[in-house]
Amino acid sequence: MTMASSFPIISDASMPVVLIALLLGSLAALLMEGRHQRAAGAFSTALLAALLAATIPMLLHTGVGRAFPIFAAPFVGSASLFADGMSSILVSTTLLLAAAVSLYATRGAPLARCEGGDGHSPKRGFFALLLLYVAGLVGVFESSSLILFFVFFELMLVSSWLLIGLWGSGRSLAAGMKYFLYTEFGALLLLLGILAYGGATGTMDLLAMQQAPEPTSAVAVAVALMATGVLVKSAAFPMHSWLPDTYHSAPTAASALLSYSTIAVGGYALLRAFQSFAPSALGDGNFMLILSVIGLVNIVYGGIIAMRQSDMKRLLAYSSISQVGYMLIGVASSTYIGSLGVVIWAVAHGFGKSALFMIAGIFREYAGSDDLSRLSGLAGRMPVTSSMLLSSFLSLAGIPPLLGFWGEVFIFLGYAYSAVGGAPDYARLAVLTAGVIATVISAGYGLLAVKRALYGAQNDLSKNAKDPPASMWLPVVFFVIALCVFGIFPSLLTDAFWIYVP
Amino acid sequence: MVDVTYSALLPAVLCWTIPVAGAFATLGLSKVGARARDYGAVLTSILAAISAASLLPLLPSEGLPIDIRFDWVTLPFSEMPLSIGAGFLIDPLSIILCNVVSVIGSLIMVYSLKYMEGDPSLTRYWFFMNLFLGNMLLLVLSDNFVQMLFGWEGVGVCSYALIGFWHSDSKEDWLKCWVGEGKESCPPSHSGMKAFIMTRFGDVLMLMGVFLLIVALGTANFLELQNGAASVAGPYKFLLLPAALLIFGGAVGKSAQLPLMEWLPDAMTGPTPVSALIHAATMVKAGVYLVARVFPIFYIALVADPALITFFQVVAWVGALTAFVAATQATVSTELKKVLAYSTVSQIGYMMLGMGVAGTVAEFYIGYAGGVMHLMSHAVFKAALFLSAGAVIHAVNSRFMYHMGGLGKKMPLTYVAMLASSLSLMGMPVFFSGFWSKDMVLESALLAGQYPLLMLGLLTVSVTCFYTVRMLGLVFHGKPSEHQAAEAAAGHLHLGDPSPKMTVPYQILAAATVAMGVTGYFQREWLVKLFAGYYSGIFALGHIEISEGLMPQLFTAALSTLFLLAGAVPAYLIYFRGRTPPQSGLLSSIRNLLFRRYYLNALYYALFVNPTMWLAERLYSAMEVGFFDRLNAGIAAAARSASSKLRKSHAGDLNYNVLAFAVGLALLMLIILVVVIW
Repeated sequence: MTMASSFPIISDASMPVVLIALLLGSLAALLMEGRHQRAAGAFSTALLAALLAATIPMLLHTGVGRAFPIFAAPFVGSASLFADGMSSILVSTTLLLAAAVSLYATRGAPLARCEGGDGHSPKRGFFALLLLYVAGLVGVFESSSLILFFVFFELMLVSSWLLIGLWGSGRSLAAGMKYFLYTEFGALLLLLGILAYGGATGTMDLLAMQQAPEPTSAVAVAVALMATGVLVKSAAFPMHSWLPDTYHSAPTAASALLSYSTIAVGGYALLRAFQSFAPSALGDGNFMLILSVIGLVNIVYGGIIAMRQSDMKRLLAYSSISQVGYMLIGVASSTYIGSLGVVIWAVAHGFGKSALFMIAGIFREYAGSDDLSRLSGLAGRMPVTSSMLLSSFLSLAGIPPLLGFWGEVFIFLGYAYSAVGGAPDYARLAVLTAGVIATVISAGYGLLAVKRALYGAQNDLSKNAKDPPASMWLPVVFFVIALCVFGIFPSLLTDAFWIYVP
Repeated sequence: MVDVTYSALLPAVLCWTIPVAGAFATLGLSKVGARARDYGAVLTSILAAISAASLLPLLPSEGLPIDIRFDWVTLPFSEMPLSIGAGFLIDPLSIILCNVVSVIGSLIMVYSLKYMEGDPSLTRYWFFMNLFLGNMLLLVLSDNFVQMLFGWEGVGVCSYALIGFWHSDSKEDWLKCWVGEGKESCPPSHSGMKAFIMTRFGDVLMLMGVFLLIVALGTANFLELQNGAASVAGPYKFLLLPAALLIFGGAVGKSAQLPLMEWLPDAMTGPTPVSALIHAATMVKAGVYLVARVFPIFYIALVADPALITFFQVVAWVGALTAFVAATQATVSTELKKVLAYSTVSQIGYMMLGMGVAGTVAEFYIGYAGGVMHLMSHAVFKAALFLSAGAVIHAVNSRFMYHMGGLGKKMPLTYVAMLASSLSLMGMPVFFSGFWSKDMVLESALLAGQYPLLMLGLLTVSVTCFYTVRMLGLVFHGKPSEHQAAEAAAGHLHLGDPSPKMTVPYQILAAATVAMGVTGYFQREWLVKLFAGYYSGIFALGHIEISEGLMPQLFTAALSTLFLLAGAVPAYLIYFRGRTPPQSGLLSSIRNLLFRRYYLNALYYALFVNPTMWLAERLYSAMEVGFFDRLNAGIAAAARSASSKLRKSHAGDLNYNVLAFAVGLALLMLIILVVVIW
């Protein structure tokens, strides 16, 4: 591997500041929320935007690694907050998404409670949990130690579980429980892997390692356990069945962040494990081949089921299962380009899917339903929302100039290199061919959904539909514009990307 | 390199940025006023044409190619060193193409002013028309595959939006904006999607080919690919042929060649100017352009891997077969625009034939120049045909030819334009551009000694003449239909030539096809010299002696005229003179086969669309609901029953507790003993 590891590592105190601000902000939001729901929303949006601004320098100047020691304790070893190029990109994206999602939820803050319609949601805590969830995500991307990683991983799981269970719609308590049990099961496998890794190598801190660990079978088992745990969190087939119910029931804001984290956290954890902690696993062609076959199954299985879903949120859920597959193929390419593709794919998916979930929310509120079988002819009534729906789906399908294109290109280019860059590997070539052809499926379910909702004669629902007020479509338009800007200037992301190797 | 100033290169960038910017300006101008928006949009396309035209002075220069490059994406840490630049390639091919696209595009835009007048969604119309032009120009000017894909997919998205422009799928406008009859009729939104998905299928094949090519040669830049092709490293040599064939897959999709031709006939649901744009200037020409663009790469690579000859043979055969198959379908079509659509597919086949044959011989320039020349002449006459067809459809309020008839006297200007461009399509000797360009393609097949291909090409000439004369007869001759009488009674009919805003563009185009015909011989010589000279530099062949005699030209002309008459005369007798065509069971089953498009369309639905939908249903009900939901419910139920059973043991009875404690202790000790002993 020629992952650049020669970058200097500097001490940076801004990372703990961001995390502490998120945790304190969560407390403040909790205190505000009882009386002033909207003020709490505005506060959390402003906080997230400010923190985003604080992390931008990190993104612009990624030629260095950043570290800040947190603790050193017996048995668990040392741990630091740590960011390389990959972390910086994902942290900024997280904050950007969270700020937009929080703005959207502020607008619909009364809605956050009544979206479910059965009035079981508590009065306070939504934005507090949202900020906790964001803290968990940021922490996950910034942990140098596997133990610290696990702590933040759990913070993320618990806060998102409560968000889904308490503020969701329909049978959200059950769906939330299912989500929690499945992902917790994954987390326990992950923990097992982490402990095994610590046992095998003597440290769990990336920064404490002098060099990459020896490729022993104990390391391989540990990494395999970690990867399996992450695959559950990423909804890899056949461990995906928690996802559709979860996305279906979760409040819009949570599903938007959740769909990002499914790919971003999964992709990040796999890349971190395979590239930084155990580069030896990359040499294992069979393991990577299995990973890419799982990816291919995800692409095809999720994509085909998405075609006939009427419920828009469920459709988006199956689409996410399909999108995860590309991420797995990118990881399995074990190349620099493929890894870059995974990170870009995570960003593009985060923007595109968030926009789509918000649009589903807009449909529910301003067109009376988000059931595609009940919608028809909305294009004439909701021009802004309709254009955004089409654009977001095109990004998912990897159509330029939207960012999704680069994700797809880098992922498959990396995989193509792994298949024929050396001696031709025909199994990989077959996966590559099938995977590239399967991208047609994404265009298929996207355009089919567009056709069902937007085209055709207007019916009773669409006659009364109209575009929502600007404060609601603004985040959506923002995402689509961001997809375009990054798609046209991909070097904004590609220049910032590198992965640390001890 | 000759001395070229930067200002001379600026048009290459302006040419496509102006329409793209114009598309977004339309959104703003629509708030100012309808006239500002409409004329602003048309002006944009004219400005693009002017920028394109200002590249023409570079044309005969020895300084080509000029590659203007910018940094875009650099990946210094990648295992395969790769940097993808942004850039614009100015060479004879791109200069010719961007002029064809923008000049014809702007005439179509002028025509749209009147044709689309009063449509409630005009902002959307202008937006996508300009974006369409801009993307096509970006496509032909890009200097590398990745940037070209931006234009390539952009063209796809715009065609999707414009084919499905009347997306309300109104049944009342069935006669005007649907396509097909009976079981195969489909509304605009369906056609748009079909076009996108089907071309996307070709696109992903191309993407795959591009990946292989990048891995093999380490670059996506066309010029660098040309330079590296001859000396490709040994282990990568085997990648070239699959890459070439896969890239051709993209061209097959975009240019609606066999077997991905089924989207184009159904794309007739778009407004007529859109059809004209798709067929004459943008979209379907992209495939031919792509083959012309990669031609030098794989022609040079023949040195490294002679197997690449297969690529050129496949191109030629796909082209020839498509030309014939599509032409036969046009002979039975009942819709005016659909005849023209099949005809486009068929004519593009000729261009592919020319390009393919060119790659198999040393005298590549005849086939190559023939393909490009046919692209130019087809662009002109097909645009004229579509625009005048639009006037006819506008007048009779129907797309069906059996609703027309006898229009020649009522719409003389339209008839003359359509007649001239039809004669060009047929390849009527000497005064019509189609004659020169098509004959050049046929001549290249003759010179290459590819007699089966030549025969297919000649047969296609007959079929082409048959359907063209049939079309003219059905539309302009014979008795006016009952539909016209009914429409007239209802007061909907405006028979007569439309306003000059509509007639002038197609009059100009029809005049141009005649002018190109009159100067055909010189045009042909000029193109041959241009491409032979240009590529001799690229291929490092030194000076090429252009070896072409007059004899092959005359021989081809005689042959093609013979086949022309063989097709035109029967059609004339039947559709002009009113002779009854021969009837037989065989003929009617052939007619049915052609009408159902050789069942290829039905086959695609049966093989791909319906099974996918079925699978989507089945996977959901069997796997998701049937298996995974049950599994989850089963796990939950098992946990619940285990818990209720275990609960019984926690009854709080002291006796049981003490007993269990004792058993547990015993077990623990046993375990410790086993471990210690072991």
